[in-house]
Amino acid sequence: MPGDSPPPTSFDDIELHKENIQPLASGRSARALAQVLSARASPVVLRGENAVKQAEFEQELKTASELDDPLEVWVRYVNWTVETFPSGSSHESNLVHLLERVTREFLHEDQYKNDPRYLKLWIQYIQNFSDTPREAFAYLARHDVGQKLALFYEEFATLLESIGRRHQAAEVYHTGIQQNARPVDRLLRKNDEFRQRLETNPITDDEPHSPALVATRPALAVKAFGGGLGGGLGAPAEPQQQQQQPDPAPAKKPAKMKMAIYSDADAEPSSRAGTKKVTGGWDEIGTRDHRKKENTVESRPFAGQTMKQEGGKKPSSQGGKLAVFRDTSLHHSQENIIPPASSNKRPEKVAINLELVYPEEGDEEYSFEELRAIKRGLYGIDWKTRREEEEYERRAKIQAKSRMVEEKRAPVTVKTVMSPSPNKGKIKRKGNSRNAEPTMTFHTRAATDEIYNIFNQPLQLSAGQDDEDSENDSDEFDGEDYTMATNIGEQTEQFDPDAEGEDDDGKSVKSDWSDFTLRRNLLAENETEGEEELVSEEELVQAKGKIEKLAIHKDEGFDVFGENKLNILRDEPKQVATSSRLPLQKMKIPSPPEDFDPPRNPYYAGNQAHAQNRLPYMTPIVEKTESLPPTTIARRKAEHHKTPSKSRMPDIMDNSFSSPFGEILNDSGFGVSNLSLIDPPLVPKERERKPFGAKPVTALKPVAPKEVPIIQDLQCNPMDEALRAQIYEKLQPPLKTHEGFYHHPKSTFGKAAEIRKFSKSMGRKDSDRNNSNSGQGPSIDFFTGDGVRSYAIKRELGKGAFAPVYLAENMMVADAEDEAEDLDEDDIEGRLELTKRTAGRKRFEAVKMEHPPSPWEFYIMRQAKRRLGVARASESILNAYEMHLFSDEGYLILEYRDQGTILDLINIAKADSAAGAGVMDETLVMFLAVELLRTVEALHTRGILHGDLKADNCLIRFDPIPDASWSARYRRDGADGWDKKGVSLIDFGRGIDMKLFSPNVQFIADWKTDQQDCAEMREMRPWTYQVDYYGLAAIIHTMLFGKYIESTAEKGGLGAKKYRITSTMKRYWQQNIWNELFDVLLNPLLHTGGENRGVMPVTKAIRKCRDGMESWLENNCEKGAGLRNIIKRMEATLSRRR
Amino acid sequence: MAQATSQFELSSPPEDAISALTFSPTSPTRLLASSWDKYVHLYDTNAGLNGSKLTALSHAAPVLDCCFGENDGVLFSGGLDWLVKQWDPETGAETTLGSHEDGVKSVCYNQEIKSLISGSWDHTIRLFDPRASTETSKHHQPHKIFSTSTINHTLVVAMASRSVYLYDVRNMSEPWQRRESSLKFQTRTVRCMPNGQGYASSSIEGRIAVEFFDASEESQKRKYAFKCHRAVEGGVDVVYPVNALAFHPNYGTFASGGGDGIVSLWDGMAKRRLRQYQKYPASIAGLSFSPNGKYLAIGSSSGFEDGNDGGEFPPESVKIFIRELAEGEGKGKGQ
Repeated sequence: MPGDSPPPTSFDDIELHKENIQPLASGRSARALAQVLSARASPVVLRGENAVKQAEFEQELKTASELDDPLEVWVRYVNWTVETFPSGSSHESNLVHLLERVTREFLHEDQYKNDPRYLKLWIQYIQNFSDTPREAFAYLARHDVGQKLALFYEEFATLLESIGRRHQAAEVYHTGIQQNARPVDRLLRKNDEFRQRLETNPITDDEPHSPALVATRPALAVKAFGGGLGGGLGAPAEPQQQQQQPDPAPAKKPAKMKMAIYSDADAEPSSRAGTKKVTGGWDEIGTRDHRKKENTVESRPFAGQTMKQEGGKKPSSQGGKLAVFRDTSLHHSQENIIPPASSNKRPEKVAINLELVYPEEGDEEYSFEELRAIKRGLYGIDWKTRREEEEYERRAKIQAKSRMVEEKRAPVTVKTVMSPSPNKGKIKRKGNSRNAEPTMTFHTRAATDEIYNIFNQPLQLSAGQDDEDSENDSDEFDGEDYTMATNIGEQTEQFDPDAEGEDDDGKSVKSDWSDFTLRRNLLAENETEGEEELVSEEELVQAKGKIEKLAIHKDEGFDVFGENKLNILRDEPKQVATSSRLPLQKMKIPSPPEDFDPPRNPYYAGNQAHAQNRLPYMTPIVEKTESLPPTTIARRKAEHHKTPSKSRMPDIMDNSFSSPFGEILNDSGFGVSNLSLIDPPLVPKERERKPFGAKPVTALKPVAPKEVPIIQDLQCNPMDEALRAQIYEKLQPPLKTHEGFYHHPKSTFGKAAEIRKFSKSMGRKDSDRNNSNSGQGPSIDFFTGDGVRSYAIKRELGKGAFAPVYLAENMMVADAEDEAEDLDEDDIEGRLELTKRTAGRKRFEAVKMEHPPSPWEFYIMRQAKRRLGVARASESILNAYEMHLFSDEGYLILEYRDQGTILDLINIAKADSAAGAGVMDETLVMFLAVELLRTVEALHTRGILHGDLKADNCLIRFDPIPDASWSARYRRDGADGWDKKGVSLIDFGRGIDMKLFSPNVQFIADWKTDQQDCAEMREMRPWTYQVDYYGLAAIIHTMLFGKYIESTAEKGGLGAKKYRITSTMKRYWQQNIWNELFDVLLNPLLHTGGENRGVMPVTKAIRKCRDGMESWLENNCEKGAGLRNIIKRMEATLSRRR
Repeated sequence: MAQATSQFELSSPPEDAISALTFSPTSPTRLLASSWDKYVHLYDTNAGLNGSKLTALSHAAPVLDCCFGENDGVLFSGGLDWLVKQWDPETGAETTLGSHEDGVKSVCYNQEIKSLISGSWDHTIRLFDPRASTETSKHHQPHKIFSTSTINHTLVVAMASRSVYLYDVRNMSEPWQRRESSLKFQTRTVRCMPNGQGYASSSIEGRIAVEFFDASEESQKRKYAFKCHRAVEGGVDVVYPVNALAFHPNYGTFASGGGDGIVSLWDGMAKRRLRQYQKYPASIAGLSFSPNGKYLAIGSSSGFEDGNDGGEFPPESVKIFIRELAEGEGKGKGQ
C-alpha cells in the first residue's frame, strides 16, 4: 500500500482526475498521485516509462528466489503498480495478474504464512478482484494463511458482517481470539466493537446461522479452518452459483463442506490438530481468468453458430435463442430424440434407429442396406470364396440363373462346395445343416454335369406347373429346408426327379410366363377390389352422412326448428334410397331465420311438382346424393323444393348463412363441400333456359364419392394450368352444367384481333365513348343452344395483362328496351314479357376477353355466388352471366358497374386536396374496409379465396338510392339503404377453391412477387389464406395512407416473425382499431388461437375487428361531414368522371 | 381412393423392397428397378394401362443398384453378391464385369469415358470397360461407399463417416477434392445436377445439402442445406431419412423422397419447395425422372428405418408409381 505523504501537494493536480482514481482503504499518497497524474500529459512517454519499470521489476523477480525476503520485491512491485495506475486494474497495470502471481507463489511458504505483508496482498486481491471473497477467505484458512494474524479475522469478520452474516462474523472473531492472533489487543478491540454493534442491532432470526454455535466451539476453529470455518461458510456456494457458472475448483467444495459441517458439528475442540492440513481437495482457488473461462467464448468453427450478443451474464433474457447447438456425438447418440437446437423449437425425433446406424462398439456405421442385409443374414458372406469353389460347376451352369441362387442364412462355412444354382437351396441347407458334408469337396465335374442334365430336363415343364413349383420352392426355403438338406446332401449324386422339379433352374426361361400369369391375377384382383371399395365407400359415406348430419345440425344451433330439421335430415337418406316421394308432413322446412321471407305458398305445391319432375332423373340423383357430404343433402333438398318457384330463389339453407348461425355453421363445417350442393338449383333453371334437355342428366350422373378432394397434393401452385385442367376434369358437377357456360372446344372464335384493333382506334379517336348508338364496334355473336347472343363492343374498360375488358351492349336487352319504348305506358303485359326476356340482364355489360381462354374465373365467381347464396356478401361479388369458351379465346360476360374502383376513389381523394391531406376520409375508409372484410370473411368461410385482392379489383357499388330511404345513421345490418352501398369484387382469375384441395394444403406462387404480395410469397414460404389477408391489408393501407403498403418484420417473442406496417398513423385516427386490424391481417397465423380448429381462416379474429369498426361507424358516422354525405359526394364525383 | 389421373401404378412390381429406380437416359418409357428380391426388373412404362414388365434379370443376392449404359440395350447392376453385372435385356445375356469384396452399393455409368463405375462397402471404387468387360481400375477409399453419382467428368463418391470425394474420371488416381458432407448424419444419396455444376446429397436425418463442384470461395458460399421430410407427431418433429433424390433433366429442380413416404419437388436455385405430393403408402426408396422430364418414377417400399424389417417383408407394400408431370410442373421459379 502506498507509503506516507509528508509534503503538501496541490489538490488541484488531483482534483481533475479524481474520478479516475480508485480509492484505497488506506488512502493514497497525494504526492505520488500528483506525480503520476501530472505525467499524464504525455501518456505515450508515461507508458514507455512504466513498461521499463515493469520490466525492471520482472527482472528483479526472476532472481528474487535467491533473496532472503523475496516477498519484499513483490510488495514493492505491487505498491508501485497501485500508485502508478491510480485508476485501478487495467490492461496496463495488470494488477490482477500480479496479485494472483504473488499470492499463489508463496502459498506454501511457511515463512510467509503469517507474514502480514503477504496477507495484505491476499486481502488486496480478495477485496478488489475476487468474485467470492468469503470463499477466498475460507481458502486462506484452509491453507493456513494468516491464521495467526488478527488482520485476517478482522477482515473476514468485517466482510461477513457487511453481508449480514453476523453469526458467522462472531464466530470468526471468536476463532481469532482463540487462535491468539496478533495483535491480540486490536482483535479484541474489534471484537468488542462488533459486540457493541450487535447489541444496538441484535441479530435477528432470519440472518443466516452458521451451523455451529460460536460458543460451543472455541478451538474448533482449528479444524474449522481446515473445514469448520469452511463449513461455517457453507453458504458461499449459493451466491457463487448465482453469480457465475461453477468452476472446477469450487465445484468440489460443496461436497467437502458438507462433510465438514456434519463431521465438525460434533467434533471436539482441539487446538490445532487440523492446522497441518485438511486441505485435501482444495489446493487451488483458481485465478480470475480461470474462473471466468466459462464465460468466455471459445473460438471454434463458425458454421452453424449463433453469435452471443453479450457475455454470459444475462443468459436469462436471450439464452433460449442463442443456445449454441451442441453436436450430439454421433457415436453416442443412444436415443433418437435430438435436443432441439433452440428452446422454442419442437423436439425432434429421428424416425430411424440411430443405434443401429451408429452402433456403440467401433466407429463403424451402417447404411440401411447393410442393416437389412445383416438382418436377413446376407451380410458378411464371402462370395468370392463361395464362387471360387463353385468355379467348376459354373461352367455347367445354364446362362440364366434361377431366382434363388445360393441362398444362405448365416455366414457360411466355406468348406462345403456349393452346388450350382439349381441346388442353391441345398447349399444353404448344407451350410446350415448339421449334416453338412465336407465330402462334397470331391464332387467331380462329371458328376455335376450329370446332375445338371437331370436338372435341365424340367425345363420343359409347363408354365403353370412352374408357378406352383416356384411357390413350393419358396415355402420350402422358409421352413423345411433343413430336413431336405440332409437328404440332398446325402444324395448329391442322384437327385430324384422330385427335387429337380422343385428346382428353380428352369425358371429363367419360364419366368416371363409366370410373371404374366401373376400379373393377370393381380389385375383381376385389383379390379374386383376396386369395385368393392367403391361400394363400401359409398355406403360409408351414406352412413357417415347420417351421423354427421346430426352432428352438424347441433352446431348450427337452430334450436327453434331443430326438430323439424332433424326429421328431414333423417328422412333424406330414406327418400333417396327408395326414390320415392317424401311424405308430405316431412317436408316442413324449418322456419327461416330472421328477415327471410320466402315464397311460402308455392312451396308445397312446388314441392310435389318437383318431386314428380324429378322422377326421370331419380336414379342418378340417388347416387349422387349418396356421394354428397352430409350437409349437402339437406341443403340440396331445400333448393329443389324451391326450384319450381323459379324466382330468384333464396334458398333456405343458404339463407341461413346470412344469419349468424349460418356463419357458425360454415366455420365449423368448412370441410363440407357444399360446392355441389348449391349446384342443383341451377340445373332446373338451365332446363327452362336452354334446350339442353339432356344436360341435367349428365350433371346428375353417378359420381365417385366426393369425400376426396380433387387435388391431394400437400403443396402446389394453385394457378398451375395442369392442376386446373385436372380440376375441370373432375369437377362435380361438371363445369358445362353451369348455367351460362358455353363450351366450344372444337371451334375457334378469332375475334380478338378485330376487337383489339377497334378498341385501339377508339382510343385514338377518343370519340363519343358512351354513345350506345355509335354502333361502330364489332359485334360478337355467340351461338348458344337457344339462339344467338349478340354483343356490340363499345369501348375498352380495362386492360389486363391477358384479359382486356370491354364495355358491350347486350343486344338482347337493347332490343327489348327499344321495344319497350315503343310500347304503351299501359301495356303491362308487354312490359312484363320484355322484362322476362331480359331476365335481369342489363343493357350494358362487361366482356372480359381471355386469351388464352380459361373458365377458371367463371367457375370461381359462380362458386362464390352460389356458396354465398343470399348472404349479404353475395352482393359484393360481381355477377358472371355467361362464359363462352373457344379453343382460342374466351369471353366472360360480366355485370357492368360504372363507378370505378377503390383505386379511383383513392385517386380522387388524392386529387381533391379539400378532402384533407390527399387521403380518403377515415370514416369512408372504415366503411369500405368493413365492406371488404365482410365479403372476404364470408368467402373464406365458404372456402373461396380471391387470391388477387387489390384496390383496382374492387369495384365501387354505390347503387343509387333515394335520400328518403337512406338514413344518415350507419346501420351495420345493411338496413335503411346501407346495403346498397358497398363494393364488388372482380377479377377472380387467381381465385382458389379450397374445397378442391386437401384440408392442410399449402400453396406456393410461381410469379414474381413484390411488396403487394404477402410476406409468405415474397419469402417463398407456403401460404393459403394469407394471400387475401395481405391483399386486404394492402387495400386498406392504400386507402388510409394513399400509398402502397410496406411492411416490416419484427421478431416476435416466440421466434415467429411479426409483421407491421411501416407507415405511421395520424394522431387523430382510430389507431387502436387500425393497429389491431393490421396485426390480424399481416399475422394471421398468430391469431388462429380463437378459431374453431386453431387454423386459418382467422374469421373470428377478423370478425372481432369488424365489430369494433362497425360500432365505431355507428357512433361516429354523423360526425363531421357525415358518412352519408361523403359517400354522396363520392358518388357524384364518380359519375362526373364517367 | 381416387388417384390423381396423372399417376398410375406399375403392374407387377418387384416382390421385395426396392433398392433403386432409374429411367433410361434415352427413352422415356424404359424403367429399371433393382430390388431385394434379387432381380433387376425392366419395365416398359408405356405399355398397356399400367405398363408391363419386359424382363427381369437375377443376381445371386439382393440387388442394390442398377443403371443404364450407353443405351437401352445395356444394363448394369450390382448387389450384395459382390458382383457387377452387365445385361442385355433383349437376349438376357449376362456378363459379370467384375467382383468387389463386399456388397456393391452403387453403380453409375459415365458417358464421357464410357465406363461403368461401381462403389462398394469394400471401400473401393472400380471402373469397368463394358465393351471389354474388364475392370480397368480400382481405387481405394477411406470408407464404405454409400452412394455415387457422375456427370460429365465428375464423379461424386459419398462414403461413411460423412466423407465425400470428388473425382475427375479422367484422372482417378487422386481425388480431385476431398470434402466432408455438410450434413451431420450419414449420407444417404448423392445426385449430380444435370448442368454439371454441383450435386445434392441427402442424409438419414431429414436434410438435403446442395453443393457445388467449383472449389472457389464464391462458389462454395452458395452451398446450403435445409431440413425436410419431417412430420409433427404428438408435438415431436419426427425426422425421416431422405432416401432418394432425382434431378429434373430439363429444369434442374429436384425431387426428394423420404422415409415418410412423401415426395417433394424443390427448386434448388430459388431454395424453395415447389410441390409436395400426397403421401405414398410406404417409404420412398427410389426416384427417377424420365429423360424428357415428363415422368417421375417413384418407388415405394418399406424402408429399414426402424430396423424392423425382419425379413418379413410384405410384398404388397412394394409399389412403383409413374407420375406424369404436367406441363411446367417441376419448373423452377423464373424459368
